[in-house]
Amino acid sequence: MKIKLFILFSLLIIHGLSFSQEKKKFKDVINIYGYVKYLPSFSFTNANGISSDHLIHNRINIKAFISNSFTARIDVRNRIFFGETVNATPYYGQLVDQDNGEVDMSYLIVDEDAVVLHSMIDRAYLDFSKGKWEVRAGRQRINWGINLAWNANDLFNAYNIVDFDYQERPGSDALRVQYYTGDVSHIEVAYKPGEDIDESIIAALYKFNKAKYDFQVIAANYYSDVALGGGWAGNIKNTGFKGEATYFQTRENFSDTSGILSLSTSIDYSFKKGIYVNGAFLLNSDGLTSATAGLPSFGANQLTAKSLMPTKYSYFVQLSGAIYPQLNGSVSVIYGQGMNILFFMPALAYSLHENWDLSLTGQIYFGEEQSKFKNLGNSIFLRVQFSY
Amino acid sequence: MKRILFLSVLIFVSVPFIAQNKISAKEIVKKADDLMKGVKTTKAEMIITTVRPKWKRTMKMKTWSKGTNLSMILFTSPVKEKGITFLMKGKEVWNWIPSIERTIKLPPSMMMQSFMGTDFTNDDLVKQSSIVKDYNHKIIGEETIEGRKCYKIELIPHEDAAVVWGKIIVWISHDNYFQLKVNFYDEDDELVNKMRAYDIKNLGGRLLPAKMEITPMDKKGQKTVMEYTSLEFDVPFKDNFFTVQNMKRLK
Repeated sequence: MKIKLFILFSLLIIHGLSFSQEKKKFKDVINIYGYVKYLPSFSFTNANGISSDHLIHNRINIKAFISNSFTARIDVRNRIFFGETVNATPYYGQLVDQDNGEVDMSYLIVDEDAVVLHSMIDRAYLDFSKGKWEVRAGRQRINWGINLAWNANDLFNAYNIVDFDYQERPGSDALRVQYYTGDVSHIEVAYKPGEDIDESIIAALYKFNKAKYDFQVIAANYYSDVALGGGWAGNIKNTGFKGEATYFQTRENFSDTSGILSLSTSIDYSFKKGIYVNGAFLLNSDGLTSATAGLPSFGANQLTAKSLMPTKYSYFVQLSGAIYPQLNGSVSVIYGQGMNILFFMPALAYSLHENWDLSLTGQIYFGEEQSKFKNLGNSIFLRVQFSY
Repeated sequence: MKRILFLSVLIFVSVPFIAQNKISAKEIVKKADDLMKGVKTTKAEMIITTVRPKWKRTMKMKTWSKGTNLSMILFTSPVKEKGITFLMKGKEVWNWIPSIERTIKLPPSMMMQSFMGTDFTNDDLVKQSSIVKDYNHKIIGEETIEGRKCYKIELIPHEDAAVVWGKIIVWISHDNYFQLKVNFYDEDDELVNKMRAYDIKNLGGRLLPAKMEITPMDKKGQKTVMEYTSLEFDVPFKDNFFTVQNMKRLK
């Protein structure tokens, strides 16, 4: 079934391309772009043990404009890992080689003790747009989030601000139908199939604009839950005011269990000198209110709209701005109340040349361990990026 | 974009039979403004070069506008910014970021920020204030700019007008109504930005300055040059052109 789908998809693209190439130039039909990054990183909890790791990260986005209505897209993410963590972690390759989609498009090409090369197709879809309709089938990003930091409405591929090197996020294997009811309003239905309904998401969204606010309401079968929610994006005077909330209730025992509320709201403001501030609050009604043993995870991939933070009440602040015309600085802080977890992410970004960028990002974790608030881990990431 | 388009539209060949000695300051500006309003739609391609000490950066973009309430901007270069789109509808602004596949509604305070690191502000691009309605006008002299005789006109905003500037002085040429020079002052009467327009050529069937250069006074060695590489007037756009849906499809 999975293989058939893939073949069908490939055939459609190839057919579409050979058909349209007769009339158009290659460049008008196929658009290839992406980047190559080299990301060395250093991690330590105290100065005694520094481990250094290396990542070469390449992304190839291929977009094919098959006809006026049909577009196909395939994005490939290639990563080469080497360094001390790879050396010290048995089955590192297997850890990376994960694909939660319907079709396994994760490929472990090199799996040695010292080096791992992993390729993943995280977008592979066919899009049909005509008039006010848009239908998209295949692996795609369905981004329903509104806030910068926490997206309670982002049911399909929850965004994670900590995972700064993967802003594209993994795709969902889904069928999505959108109908635009107005200039800034639309209805959307998306279906991410699983083995059974408890592993599937069937969700609908209605987005509209009223009184200079964007509003959205969502309703979904979210795995074994029923999810109902909504969000807004607007402003109070000159300050941006956004929020989103989703209430998850298990379908079983629907009437006698209480659900989980995930609610995030944020304000943002740009000062005249170019300093941008974003502040956010998150409520995870299922979250913890006191310290537990072990390092709390801000996990790269475990984050979902239902559980955006392990703590019940969390706070986020980001400050960013240009230090020099080509040098940007930012600091993001996340605090989880009760568990007393604190995360700092300072970053500097330097524009070397038109397509060359350099950045330096720090990640510093603090938390409570044996009733003591202390430093739990630090990482420094250097990144050189070439975009093409 | 509105202001930039306005400035350019202001400049094209206008009514040649005006009795120039009788025309008032307001009329000069109004005629130019009427000319802008006469244009239903504008489509442009431009190159923006941001100049900093020891550094220079070039961006390419396409813009579409209809009336004073609707416009759209698409970045075509550099590759990192390619596909980023802005939609302006009245005072609301949406930003489509293809890498994260999200449409972001921008807060109004963002309007005061530099437009993509240039010396233009976002507000310069979506400005809704009217250079005719929001200001009082006075001819304060005549000067020759780049060999052309110009009216020197002072613009003072009305007290209740929601405008950024405390005062604007414009030099509009007697012939063709080219707006060759503009000085922008803040509320303390301090000169903030100087703009000049030059390189007059035929664009979209009209004689226009192809280049506009803005220089901030308080930053040494900085300027931004905007050059039109293509302009088309009154090309019809389809009904659902200025929509969130179309932002994602622009090429």
